[in-house]
Amino acid sequence: MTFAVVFFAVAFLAFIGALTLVFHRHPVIAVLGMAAATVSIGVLYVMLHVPFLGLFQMIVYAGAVMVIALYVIMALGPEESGPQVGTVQTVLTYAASLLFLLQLYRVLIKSEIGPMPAVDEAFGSIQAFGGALVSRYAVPFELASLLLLGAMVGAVVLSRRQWQ
Amino acid sequence: MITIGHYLVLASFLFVVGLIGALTRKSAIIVFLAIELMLNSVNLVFLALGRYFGQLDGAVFVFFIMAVSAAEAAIGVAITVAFIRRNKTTAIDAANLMKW
Amino acid sequence: MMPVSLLWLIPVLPLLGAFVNGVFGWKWEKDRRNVISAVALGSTALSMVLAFWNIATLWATNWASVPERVGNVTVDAAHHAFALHLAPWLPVGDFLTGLGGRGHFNVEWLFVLDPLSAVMLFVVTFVGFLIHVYSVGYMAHDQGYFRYFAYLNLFMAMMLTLVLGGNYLVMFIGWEGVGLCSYLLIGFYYQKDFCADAGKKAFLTNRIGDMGFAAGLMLILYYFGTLDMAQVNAIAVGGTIPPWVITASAILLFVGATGKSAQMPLYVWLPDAMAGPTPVSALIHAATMVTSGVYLVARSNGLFSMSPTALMVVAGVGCFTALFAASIGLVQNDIKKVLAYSTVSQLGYMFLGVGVGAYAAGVFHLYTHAFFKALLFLGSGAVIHAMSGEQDIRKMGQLFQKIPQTYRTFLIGCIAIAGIPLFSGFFSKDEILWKALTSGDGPGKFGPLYSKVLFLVGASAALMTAFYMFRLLYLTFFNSDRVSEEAKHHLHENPKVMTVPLWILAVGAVICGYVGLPKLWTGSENVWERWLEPTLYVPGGHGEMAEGAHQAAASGAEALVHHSAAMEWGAMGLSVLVAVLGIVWATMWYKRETETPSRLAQALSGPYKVLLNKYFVDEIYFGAFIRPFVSMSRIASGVDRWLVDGTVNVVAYSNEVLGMLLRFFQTGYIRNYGLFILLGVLVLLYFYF
Repeated sequence: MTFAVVFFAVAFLAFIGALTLVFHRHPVIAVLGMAAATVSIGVLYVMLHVPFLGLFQMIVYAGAVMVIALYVIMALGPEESGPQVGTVQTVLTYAASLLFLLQLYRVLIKSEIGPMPAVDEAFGSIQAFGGALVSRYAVPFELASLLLLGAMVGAVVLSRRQWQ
Repeated sequence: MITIGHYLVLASFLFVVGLIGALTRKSAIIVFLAIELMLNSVNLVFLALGRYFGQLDGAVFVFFIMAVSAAEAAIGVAITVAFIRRNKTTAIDAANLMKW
Repeated sequence: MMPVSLLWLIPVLPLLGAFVNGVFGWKWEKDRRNVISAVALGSTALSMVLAFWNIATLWATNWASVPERVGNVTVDAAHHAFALHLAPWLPVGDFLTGLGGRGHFNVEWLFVLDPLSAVMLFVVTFVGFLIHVYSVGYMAHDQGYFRYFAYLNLFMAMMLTLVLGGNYLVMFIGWEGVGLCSYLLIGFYYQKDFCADAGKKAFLTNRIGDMGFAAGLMLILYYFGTLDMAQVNAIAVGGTIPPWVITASAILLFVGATGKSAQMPLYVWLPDAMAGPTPVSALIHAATMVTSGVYLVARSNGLFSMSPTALMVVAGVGCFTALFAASIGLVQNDIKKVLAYSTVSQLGYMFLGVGVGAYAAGVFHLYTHAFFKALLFLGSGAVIHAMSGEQDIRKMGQLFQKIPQTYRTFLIGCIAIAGIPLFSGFFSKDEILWKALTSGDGPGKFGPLYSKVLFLVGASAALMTAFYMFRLLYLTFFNSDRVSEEAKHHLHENPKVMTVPLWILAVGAVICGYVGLPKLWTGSENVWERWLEPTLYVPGGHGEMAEGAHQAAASGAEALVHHSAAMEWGAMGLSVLVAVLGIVWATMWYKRETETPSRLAQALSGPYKVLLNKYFVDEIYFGAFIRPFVSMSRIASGVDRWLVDGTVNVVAYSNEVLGMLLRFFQTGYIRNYGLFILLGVLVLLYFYF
């Protein structure tokens, strides 16, 4: 029972945060909305029996990504100026998105899904996680680290001013 | 009581909201964050289904998506900074060299 | 057999000469012109020697004992013919003819040496060689020397192919080839517009005739099943072909002959062809190319003999043209134009001859005409050359002492063409007129009235011929001195390289007729008749159509009816009389300057203008045919541009428009592209789930 209540609260929060991100004019508030959404989603991860990832979510998203975004907005003048997005684009986007949503719902209805089955405590534990990472997913793990390295180098290169 | 369907519906809502944001907003950063939102909703789907089938593979996948997303954030911000420096505005409409 | 197997060299040698001069001649044009002439004259001379050797062999052959076949030469003893089979050309195969028989469309490179082609060989190579020699002098100061000789050699090669061809297709190659060379040589001074136009006119008019020729060939192939001349003639005489086929194909072949030999209505190119160099006019438009039509009819004598209708057409057209052209020649003032119309008229005589079935007589006139007409043309060329390019006889006069050799040879030519006894023209012309007069007395559908009309018209044309030729002679060499001062400065006799051929031809013009002495004088058949007799498929010349060859042969023999000697002497006397009358008349009016011609021209100014303007035929053709054709072409061009091109352009344009519309999707904004992706995903989702 509590689970459901918590779920709906968190879900609601996430949804509100998303809406804020998308519809609020002021960019800082939009970013904060996103942060809230991210945190909520992290809570949802915990509720799904993977607390490790929930933690990860908080650190990476709510912590790093949002802070970076905020930093960019505040440092580099975020004001939206210029012509608004064309009406055709917006109308079509809303229509298509609505249709998309309906489609997804239709697919969902057609498939047979039921309540969450029970899992044991070890599911989603760090041991299980780490074990999987170094055994079965060792190669992607290494590749991910390479990717991060590349991203770091790339970020440095891209934000360099042109040396004369 | 909370079936997987709830998670999936929530995820789809978030995805669509993110989609609207990505296609409708003018500021580069906001668009970027909307895309992040979409990624997050996908993560949610993965985890929900992984939990449903009792496999940890979903979670591992989410782990990697997060890693990629972090890298992408770094690069994306760097690009945005370069973009803003060049065009003196955050409006992504300034990137229209592919116009006919 | 030896020389016959080299028969193919006769056309090939000039072809090689043409090739060498055409490809390398430009190098020798500036200062080594004698190399060019050596190549050209050498190849022609070699060809001539080979031709003479072949003719001699043909003469000396004992037809009773010659084998059927030696190597690739087959022998037809009945027709005194050697056939050289060189190589297959179009081995298409057998087919079903229009009569249900079996036809073989199996054309090969076939050259035939028989009395008729021997005559043509002699004329073409001998006169051709003399004209080559003459050209060395005439063209000495002209541009394009190597081009001229290359074309001239090419012409020789083509004409020889035409003459030696054993089937209609090989002949057709030569036929078209001489038409091409005629175009090239008439338009030799191509920088002048009217020369180029004259060349085009010649070629196009020829082409119209060639259409008839080709249609005739198709008809022949379809019904006879073969294009070999000997076979076609034999089949025609055999009587298995329906009469309308024979008449139609004969008339169609004659249409081709009309174009090539400048008869009504396709003669209009010949007077304009005088724009080319004079030796070209002499060779092509007097002695050789224009006679190919006569040769064609003579070659196909089996075919023509079996169709009196066709023969009547040939004789009628020839006769009419003879009179028509002679009438125009009466008043022309350009020395070459007079000769051109004279040629058309004389060709009409030749067709008159073959048209009454007297093939030997027609070819006899061809042979004598080659000599005296070439002589006259070369003489006129000498006059023009001496007068520094002047061609209008109103600006000449009193030249007989200044260029005596030219004058004497020209005089001989005029006497020959007028038909004075003991000169060659008399024998051939008289023979034709006699045969025309008697053509109504044998079997066949000529009827006495028609033959008398032919005779009278022919005699009138002879009168006119004598008259205008001597008018030409007097106005050029006698009369009053109307030469301009500048021309007088350069007036001189021509070099030997030009006068020697003139004398050779003059001698020929006198003596060449003696092979055809009339039976009336000698009491027996002359050399000419005996020589050509084996080439005739229907003895006597024309036969009844209804019952076929057997009947034809029998009735043909009857055609050798004995007319009274008195009638023959009378006809001969009449033809001599008209010739003398014409000469006397011209002498009275033109030898000394008199008022009569100009007064008559003023009195009869209407007819005079009509004759001077050649009956306005060119203008009539222009209005009746050319202008409508050009309008039609304009319409066709419009259809092509607007309809055909338009359709293609519309397609292209619509692509352009579509592109212009579609480019609005390329906004450059990635959010729009994202929307398109979303829409695509929607569609996919709808179809897959």
